[in-house]
Amino acid sequence: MVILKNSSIQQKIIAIVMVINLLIVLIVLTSLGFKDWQSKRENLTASLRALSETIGINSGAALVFGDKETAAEILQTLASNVDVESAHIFDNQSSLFVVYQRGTLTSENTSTDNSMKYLADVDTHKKGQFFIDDYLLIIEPIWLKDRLVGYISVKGSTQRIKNAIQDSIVFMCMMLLVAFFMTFFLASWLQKIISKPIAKLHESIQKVSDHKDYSLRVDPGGKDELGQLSKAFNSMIEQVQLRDRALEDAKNLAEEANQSKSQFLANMSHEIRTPMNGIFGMSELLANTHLNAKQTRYVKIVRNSASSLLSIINDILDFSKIEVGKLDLESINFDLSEVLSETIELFSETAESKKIELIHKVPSALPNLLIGDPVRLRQILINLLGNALKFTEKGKVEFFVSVHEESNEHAVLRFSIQDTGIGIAKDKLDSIFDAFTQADETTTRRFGGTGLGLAISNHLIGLMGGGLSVKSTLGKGAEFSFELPFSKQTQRPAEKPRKHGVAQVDTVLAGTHEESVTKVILLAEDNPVNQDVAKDMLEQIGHQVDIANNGVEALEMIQNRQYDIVLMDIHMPKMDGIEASHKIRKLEMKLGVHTPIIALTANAMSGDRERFIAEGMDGYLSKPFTKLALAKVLQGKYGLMLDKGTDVNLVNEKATALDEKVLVHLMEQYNGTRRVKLNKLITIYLTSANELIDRLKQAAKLSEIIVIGENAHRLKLSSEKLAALLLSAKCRSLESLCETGKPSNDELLSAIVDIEEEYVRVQRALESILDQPE
Amino acid sequence: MHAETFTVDEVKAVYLLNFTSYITWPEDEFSDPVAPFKYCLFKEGSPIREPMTEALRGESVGEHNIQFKIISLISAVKDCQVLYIDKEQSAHAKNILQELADTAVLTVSDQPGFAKAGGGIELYTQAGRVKLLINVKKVDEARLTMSSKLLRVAELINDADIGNEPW
Repeated sequence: MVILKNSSIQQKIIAIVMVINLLIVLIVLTSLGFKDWQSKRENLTASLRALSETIGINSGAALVFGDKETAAEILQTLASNVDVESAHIFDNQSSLFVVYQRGTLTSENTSTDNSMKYLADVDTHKKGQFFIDDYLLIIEPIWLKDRLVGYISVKGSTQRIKNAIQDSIVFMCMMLLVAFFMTFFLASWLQKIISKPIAKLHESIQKVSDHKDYSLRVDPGGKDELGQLSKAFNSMIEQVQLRDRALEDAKNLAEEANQSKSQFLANMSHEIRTPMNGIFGMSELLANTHLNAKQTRYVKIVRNSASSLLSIINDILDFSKIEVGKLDLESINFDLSEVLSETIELFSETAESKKIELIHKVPSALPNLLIGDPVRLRQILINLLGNALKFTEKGKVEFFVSVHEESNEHAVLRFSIQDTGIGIAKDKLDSIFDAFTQADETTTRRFGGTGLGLAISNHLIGLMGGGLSVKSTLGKGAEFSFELPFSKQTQRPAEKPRKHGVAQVDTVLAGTHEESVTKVILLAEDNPVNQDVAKDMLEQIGHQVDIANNGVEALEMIQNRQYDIVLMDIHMPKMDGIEASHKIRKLEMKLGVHTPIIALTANAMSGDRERFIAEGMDGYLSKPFTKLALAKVLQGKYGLMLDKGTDVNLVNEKATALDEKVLVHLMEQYNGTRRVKLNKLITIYLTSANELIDRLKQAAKLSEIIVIGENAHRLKLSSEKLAALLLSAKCRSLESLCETGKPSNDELLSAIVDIEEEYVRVQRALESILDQPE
Repeated sequence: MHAETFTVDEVKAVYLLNFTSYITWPEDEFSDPVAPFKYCLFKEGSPIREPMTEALRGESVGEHNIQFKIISLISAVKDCQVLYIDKEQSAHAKNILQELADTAVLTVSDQPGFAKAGGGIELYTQAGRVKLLINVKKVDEARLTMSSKLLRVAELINDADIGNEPW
């Protein structure tokens, strides 16, 4: 049975059939043989007995009258029976009377003892028959009337029976052999009745599982168990098929739902940003009207609230992007030191107002020129530092950056933010990186926040190839740290002239000079509030504005008037911005002109920019936008205004040369008595910038590209420090022009002229700060 | 069983009894179905008397019980089924046989030449064994039917011999 366990069903069937068959054949043959043997013995017995009786009857007289000769004669008749070996007649005294021996005829014989032996056992009224060794002994009493007159014993040989039995055994074996082969062939042939459907079923099942095709069905064949099995299998795979279909449907439904969710988020983003634009724009405009101190404060609160709301919305959008896996990182050259100082500066005011010491330690040997996503890095640092400050009532917040590993091409930097705040309970440590989670609900009540910041930061760090870890003791502060790998920028420009921390100079914000060429602008926007906001802002900057309520109007109007720039809202009734842009471009193809089209959108999901560019637009401005952003766009800085850019500022609308945000920080940092330091800083900057620009011009004449790059870099850094971000950007593009490939002299010269022109504006703006009374 | 030695007379007595197994008497010889079957010995003083008495005691032939009697008068011989004539009485044999002519009486004697002289069965001794000599014709004339088995074990004599006896 063990052997059969792993053999095929075919073999099993054959084996079973053969065992059964051979057993039956063996039993039948054996019983037949036994029966044959028995009947042969019976026949022998019967025939010998008949002979004995006959002879007994016939020899009675001879016995009675002592006639041995006659008795011998009578016995001699036994010669005709080949089985008879010998015969004896005894008288009633058991004395031997006469003997017959096959082959010889003697009246006296020695071999009488055998018969004699058994005579005593013969019941005179019954018959005696004994099988002894190879012969059968029949002993028969001889009666005369009812008088016992003697006995006759006949000894017959069983040799013939034995031979016959031997023959039948040989025959039986042969029959067994024949049966064996016949059974084998028949079983091998007939087992197909069972095994073939099984093999077929197996083949079909195999096919189903190989091809994963659950629409296949097995031919059930007959109505036997295998047919039932096939039917059961069919119904099973039908169920699988149905379930697959159901799962597929469910999956599609889920995907559709997810799609809807993404779409919903996009819509929400759009819907929220549109009114936000109104709030921002109008409050910005309002701030520039004549307001008393109270009103100014209210407006500021409105703008701050709007700003908070927008940052929350941005968090939620980031998080939803993370959820759908659509958060993509940039990989661009950036200066780490800039990111760090900007971040620190952002919080210095808060720290000061909370009387918390904000310490930052950055080694001088830190590799600053890296490749990565500075915007996201800044986001992470802002979040962590913001948290540290938020949850710290007193004490200090320390920010360390160190080099963990460094090679020629790569650097792994370690960032660590430690605070002496409320800390996090041990059992909450694991869950603080989960979305919508803060250490506990009271925290939420006490400190506010969406609980998304850490989750987003953690995810961003993960995307950048690092891991955020936290150590904390409840009530004793927390340390958040992470390590990030960066690639280094291949070309290393000249030594950085930058120091962390800014010279402390007090200053007061002054209005900046407006440098503007009046432009004729077409604003295609359906929302009246937004129309007002944008129109007011544009007119304040000094431009003329025509308003189209939808794409159709815009298309009409552009054919009637030459516009310098078109601001195109994307979502409009009748004809949307994309279609309108398309048509405008078609129209212009014939005329051979190109009016810049800037998309205005609240649709700030990733990939929008590429889409708009692909649709023939020149850039886009994300709603809500500030006047500064708008001004920059009008100056042709489409690329700079992408995304973000919605921090609230208190800057004079004319301060386009200086970045409002940075300027505000500067002003806040250097207020009061420190204002002198700022003035000094500005004076130093103006002197060195003049020098740098002269050097640039000189180097350009000599085509000293490296020198140009170095000086552009310096000017970039120092300009950035004093909020001259446009100038800084121009320097950066000149710098990268020098770094990448071989720029033509014309390119260099025009870039330098551009820088110089911008510098003039910056100079005027900064001088106005210097001129401003404290 | 153990072998016993029998005297010749004893053997003869048993033979006399055994004849009834192979010879059939006509039924009309008996007055009724249960009439005795008579064995007669001629005559008194014969040595076979004792063995015969012994052998025949309690025996029967069919429904007929065997009766053994000794007769001394020749006139009484007809009233027998079997008559044994001792060889000492050979002088009377001829008379007796004449007396019994055409009667259904089986005559037996151990007198040599008895059968030839017209007797039924003669018992003679050869090599220590008692043998039979049957005058078939005589027995037939007595209307007795003999079994072939008996004939087979006996010596038979023909008609021709009859009358050639010296006595």
